[in-house]
Amino acid sequence: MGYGLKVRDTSGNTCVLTPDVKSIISAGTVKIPTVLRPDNTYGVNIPLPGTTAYSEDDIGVLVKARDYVVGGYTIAWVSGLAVGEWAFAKWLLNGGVFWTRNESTGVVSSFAEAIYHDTIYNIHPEAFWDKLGETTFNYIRLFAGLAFEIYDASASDYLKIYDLGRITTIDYVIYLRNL
Amino acid sequence: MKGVNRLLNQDFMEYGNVIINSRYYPNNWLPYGTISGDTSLGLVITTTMAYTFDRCFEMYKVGSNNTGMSQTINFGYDIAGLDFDIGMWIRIHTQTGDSGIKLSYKWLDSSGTIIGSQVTIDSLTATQNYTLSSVSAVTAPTNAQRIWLGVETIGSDQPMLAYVDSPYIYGGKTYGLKIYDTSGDSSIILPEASSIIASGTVTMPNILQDDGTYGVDIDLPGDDYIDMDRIGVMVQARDFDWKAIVNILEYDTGNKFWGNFFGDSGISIPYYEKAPDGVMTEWEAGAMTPGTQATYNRLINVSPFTGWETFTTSVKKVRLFAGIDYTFLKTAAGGTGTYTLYGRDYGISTLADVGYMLGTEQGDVERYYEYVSLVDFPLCLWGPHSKFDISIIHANGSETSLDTDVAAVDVAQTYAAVADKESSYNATWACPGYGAWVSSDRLKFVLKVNGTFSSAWLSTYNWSFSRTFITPQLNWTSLEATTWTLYRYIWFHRDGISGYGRVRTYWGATKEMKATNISADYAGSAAQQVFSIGDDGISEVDYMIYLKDYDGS
Repeated sequence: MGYGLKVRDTSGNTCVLTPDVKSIISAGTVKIPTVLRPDNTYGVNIPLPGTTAYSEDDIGVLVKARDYVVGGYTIAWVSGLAVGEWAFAKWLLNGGVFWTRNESTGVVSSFAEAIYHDTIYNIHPEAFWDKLGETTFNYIRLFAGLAFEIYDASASDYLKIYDLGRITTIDYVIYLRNL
Repeated sequence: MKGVNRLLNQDFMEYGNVIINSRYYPNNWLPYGTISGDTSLGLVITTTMAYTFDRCFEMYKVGSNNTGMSQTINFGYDIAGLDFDIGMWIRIHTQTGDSGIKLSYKWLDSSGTIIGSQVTIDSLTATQNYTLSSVSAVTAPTNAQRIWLGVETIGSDQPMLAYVDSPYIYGGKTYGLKIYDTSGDSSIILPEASSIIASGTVTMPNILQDDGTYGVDIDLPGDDYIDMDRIGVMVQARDFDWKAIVNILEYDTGNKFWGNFFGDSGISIPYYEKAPDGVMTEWEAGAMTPGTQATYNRLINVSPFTGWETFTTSVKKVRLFAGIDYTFLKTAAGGTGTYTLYGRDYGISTLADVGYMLGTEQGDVERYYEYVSLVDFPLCLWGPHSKFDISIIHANGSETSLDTDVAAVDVAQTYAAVADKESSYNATWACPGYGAWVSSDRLKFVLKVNGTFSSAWLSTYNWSFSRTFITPQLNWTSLEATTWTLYRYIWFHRDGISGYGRVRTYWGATKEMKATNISADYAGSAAQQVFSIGDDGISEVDYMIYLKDYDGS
């Protein structure tokens, strides 16, 4: 490599800093909101330095859920089986508040569960950089929610929905180049 | 280069040094205007109202007076001719009549005297969602060395409720190291950027640490404790396994199979419950006894979980945690537990307090605080006496005192004739209990030590110091009235009949500060969140640790 800044230690180890190297401009742990934004999107904003927007290509983001509590389900035993056979069904919680998310815009909409119909087949935490349909950014929106993979009985289809607010904190790191 | 934000604590992450009308102010920001009960303003740690991160500043006007907060940036050199961008995001939630919010700035000279007049960026008198109020490329006048930025309530009508967040002042001289390539692309290395100081893959152990917690410790560079605000960590599960039992029901004459998953009571490495202070306790799933439904713990979900511990405000090591996270159904009854709390070597912070960790397990890293006498006052004529203040810290930062100056140990003149002495002391205190306990409450102990140092000519002076210890949130429902025994470890040395006297109090390991026979109630639950670890959970993780202000050590 013919350009860059080489840093050595006394053992002869080196590294070269080049314009392609991204800097970590923000990293740490942050709380997640319990309510939607006024535009019906969801998540916590992390500011980027300066007042002009950065290109998506110059940004890197890692996010992961740190603390969460699993809930939002209703259990029912299936009766009439033989001794020792404790089969059960796992549905969305009657009265729970669930949201679908528009992948393009980040806008979330309430999902009305069909009581004792919408079966859960997985629950897991999700956290990611929500680009909100943009390609340049003044801030980074971090989304986090407890995801429910369900069978939506009324639509006869599989669906992913979120229970928002059950993830309380996330870890994140944001990289930038062309500072 | 868009510059870095010149304002200190613009994200409001540091708080608590200034309290007005029982509201916390962010550090580096000061109030101005008329301070009265008419204007309630202070830091809000809530994601509900924040524009960025998880806190913002609330301004609530309920009278005719107006108040604001400001920060002055002192560059320490002439900034005349340099350009700056100045702004802040403002949300007005409720507004009446002429009330509103004003954002303004001033140029100041080296002595803090205003140059020209105060410049209003915005005077807002209508409700709005978060909107940026700003000016761009404003040029500093001759002799300017400082910039003052203020946000305040305005008008005579009320009520008015607003939130302000993410203030900035960008510009002035740029700094950093710019690196170009032959195409003209460039990047700037800034002090604000973090460095990756550790990364790689690490094997997760099959057993707990000696103090009952779990995980792998990664050393941080240097010997000093590092502020948690400077650290960021990402941990990712690399290899994992999970443990549960499937129960298959055949029907349709054996052509169809209905599978249900339950907790496995027979695995060699068990499931663990994790307490708020990180201590892991074994939990065994029901044995699935035919005919006894209560012995079947149904599996609700399972997912890999990785993280790093946040119990501390300063660390020498980062603790990586990893386990398979299960939620099982199990009706767990509430009850009463008896606890011993130990002072630990690392710190913990709340909204308003900073102290050392109080945990339910004894640690193995010793710490001490040493008070050194004035020169030629080496004799400990009275003391070292010691006692405690005991209180409860609530989630909003307020505090309820249970009692002060309790479990006192008065050693009178025991130390006056000795050159070296150390001992553990204890005394009891009748805790009155606290029935209004909520799960987010914490206990706070302040150990106070005092005495009188004397010279060889019996000239004396009084001295004192204190150390604070705080639990994480304890998830109790009530604190019971029991008699506690409070221990503290005192050490004394004097150089001779001249020179220095030294008093230490130790904690963290066997020379300990602890309280025994603490009794509290805990709530029942319908679900059990547990982890399996090591080869029966997550056996390897990938990780990266970032450090700001890395000194190269």
